[in-house]
Amino acid sequence: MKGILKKGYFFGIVAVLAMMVGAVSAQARMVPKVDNFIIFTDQSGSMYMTHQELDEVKIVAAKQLLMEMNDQIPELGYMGSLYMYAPFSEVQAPQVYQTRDMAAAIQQIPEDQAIFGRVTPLGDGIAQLDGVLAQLSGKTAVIVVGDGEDNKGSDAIMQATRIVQQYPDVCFHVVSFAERKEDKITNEQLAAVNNCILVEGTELLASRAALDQFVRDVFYGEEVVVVEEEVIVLRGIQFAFDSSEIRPEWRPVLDEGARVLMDNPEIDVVIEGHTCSIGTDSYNLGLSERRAASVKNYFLTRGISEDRMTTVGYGMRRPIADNTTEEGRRLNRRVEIKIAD
Amino acid sequence: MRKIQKTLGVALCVLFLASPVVFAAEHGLSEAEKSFIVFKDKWFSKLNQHCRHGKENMEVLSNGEGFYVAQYSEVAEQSLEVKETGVKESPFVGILRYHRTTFSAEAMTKEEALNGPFNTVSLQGVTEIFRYSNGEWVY
Repeated sequence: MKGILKKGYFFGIVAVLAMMVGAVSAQARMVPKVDNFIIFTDQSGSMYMTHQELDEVKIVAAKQLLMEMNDQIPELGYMGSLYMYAPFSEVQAPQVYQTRDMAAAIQQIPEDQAIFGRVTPLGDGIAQLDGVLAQLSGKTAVIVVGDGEDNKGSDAIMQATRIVQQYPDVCFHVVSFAERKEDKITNEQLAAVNNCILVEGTELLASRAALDQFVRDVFYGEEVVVVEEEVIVLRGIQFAFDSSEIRPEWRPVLDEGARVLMDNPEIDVVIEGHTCSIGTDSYNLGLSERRAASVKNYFLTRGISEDRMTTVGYGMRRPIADNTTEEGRRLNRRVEIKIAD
Repeated sequence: MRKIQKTLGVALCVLFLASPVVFAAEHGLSEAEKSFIVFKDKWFSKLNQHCRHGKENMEVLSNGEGFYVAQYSEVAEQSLEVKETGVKESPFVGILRYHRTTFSAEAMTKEEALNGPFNTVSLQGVTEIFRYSNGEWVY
């Protein structure tokens, strides 16, 4: 355990010996951008026609894309659901998103339905999202996957605008399989209702990078978290009642701690003693000071310079666990070491 | 001469059997590692259950400016390591590293604060060192 200690970092030790160790490090963490998402897939007749560029039935291509997308979506606690329109149907109601469950839902998208006589009431379908959105709270991404045909029922853009007015935190992201100019315009207008994303399905199928970017843009971001403090805790050192004696079997743990101090000679420490709540306050203050001093004396025998260490006893005044249980009291009986200012 | 040899042999046997090398070999580093992994899971359960202000028993305080702040901490494992010590009484030490993240939420009422949303306010890197004695990890 080598590390470079930097000044200004707080180090605490629990149970006998606390040592300061470690350097500041930054880590990226995924954070969700939405609280919910709805995959909203077109199952009208036109989706069962062949996409000229892909040379594949559009619904089959859409389904493949959704499976690939699903594999990239991290499980960050949002509510996920899958609905279809033209006609409107629920495949998976909102539930805490899990990759496995959504994959099973996507697999239910039928790949063989009639083409003719099955028109696209896109606007009516969007209107029916109202019932789903009413169950949800927070930010919701509606990922519309379709070819942009809108040839029956209420106006899709009007319905989407109404939805956004009622649920301002809804975003219609469109994955377009449109081929005709007027259908592409519909998809563009739909995504523009709340300034959301429009992307070509062909592009996402062709480029893993594009798909990854879409998932990042819709589902999650990354937050850099800086580790502010490093604490080394030496355990297995339980002083006997009213005792501050260091027992031989504790030495491996103490020596491991001493090694860290030796590896970081620029650090000065304060050794704090803490107790549980059994006994009086004054008694525990004295006991904790004696125990901290015992640890310091052991470190002296290991060659740690005395002028690098000071001690203080806090008794029962700074518990880290619940003193009403024996386990909690055991966790509270400890020595902490902090970096001296 | 024979008596001396016998005495010396007995002494050597005693020394060998009492040696930490044999003790450690009998218990085995790999077995200690396996048991430390099991112990680690129980340790995290203890921390989450008994340490103050976990998610199940959040702290809610007034910030003195008309808002309430709810706060709790969670731990997340980073790595673990087991080393031989050469000491008979404690033949192994186990080193567990984890992050302790503190989250907080602010609202006009205690109930609203408890419901979040919570933001990360601090991240602490913790390294805990345990000793193995008489077949168990001691803390």
